[in-house]
Amino acid sequence: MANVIIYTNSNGGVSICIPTGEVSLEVVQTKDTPTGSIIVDDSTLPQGSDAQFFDSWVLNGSTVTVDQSKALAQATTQLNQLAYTEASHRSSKLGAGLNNVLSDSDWANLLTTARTALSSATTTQALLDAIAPIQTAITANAL
Amino acid sequence: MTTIINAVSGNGLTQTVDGSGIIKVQSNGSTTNALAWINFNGVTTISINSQYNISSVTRNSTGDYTLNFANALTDSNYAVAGSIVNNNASDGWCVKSSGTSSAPTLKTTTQLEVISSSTSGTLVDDISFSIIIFGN
Repeated sequence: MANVIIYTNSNGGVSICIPTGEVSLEVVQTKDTPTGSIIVDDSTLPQGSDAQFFDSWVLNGSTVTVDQSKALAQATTQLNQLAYTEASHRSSKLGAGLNNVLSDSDWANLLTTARTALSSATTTQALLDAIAPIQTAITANAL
Repeated sequence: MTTIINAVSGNGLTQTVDGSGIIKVQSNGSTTNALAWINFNGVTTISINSQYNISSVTRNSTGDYTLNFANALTDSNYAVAGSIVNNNASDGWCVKSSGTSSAPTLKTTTQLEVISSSTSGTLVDDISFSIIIFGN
């Protein structure tokens, strides 16, 4: 547990300033963070799966929470990037005359399942669980 | 203010001493030691392993960090070097700018903004940043 300084940044997200101890916490707050920043114990910040959605954090008063709609958008972007990575990989294997480990239909089914799970997810853990099989398949296919 | 030890051609060592705790070792007026350095883990709430002349690190978003200097540097024309550790070989890091021909977004005498990303340009966190700053 340690004190950190948080504030809402220009993108509407939350910035966390971590002091090194080189100067006092109060000096860091004055020198390195904007007016309105607040000091909190880092144990009060989102933990576990919520911590993995840092870009979806929002500051309400002195409490940081996860905006689930932002988290869904973040997870969807991640899924799309994974799908693009796999599509490129599959294309390169076909170009080299090699068979993909996962058939096209199995891959399409995995993607459909993941997108369905994302759309119905109500927690950050559910978002992570929705994407996990895609990541696993990509790792397997990379071999 | 800074303590300065300067090796001057034909004139031996000159020195200026103060109580700032900051030292510059110079050769004919050019500083040869690092002005600041840091090693930190950039994931989630950041953990700072070791540093010199860094007062804080701010995580702005995934893969986007601002280093704040404890003592301001002389000018912003300093050199930045370093490395990251990640299990994805395609990740890299750089001083942030808005485009390939643009000036740095934030590279001043008091702050430096750096980012780490994958080859697709997606910002990613990395577990071990080592950044060193040389300048006058």
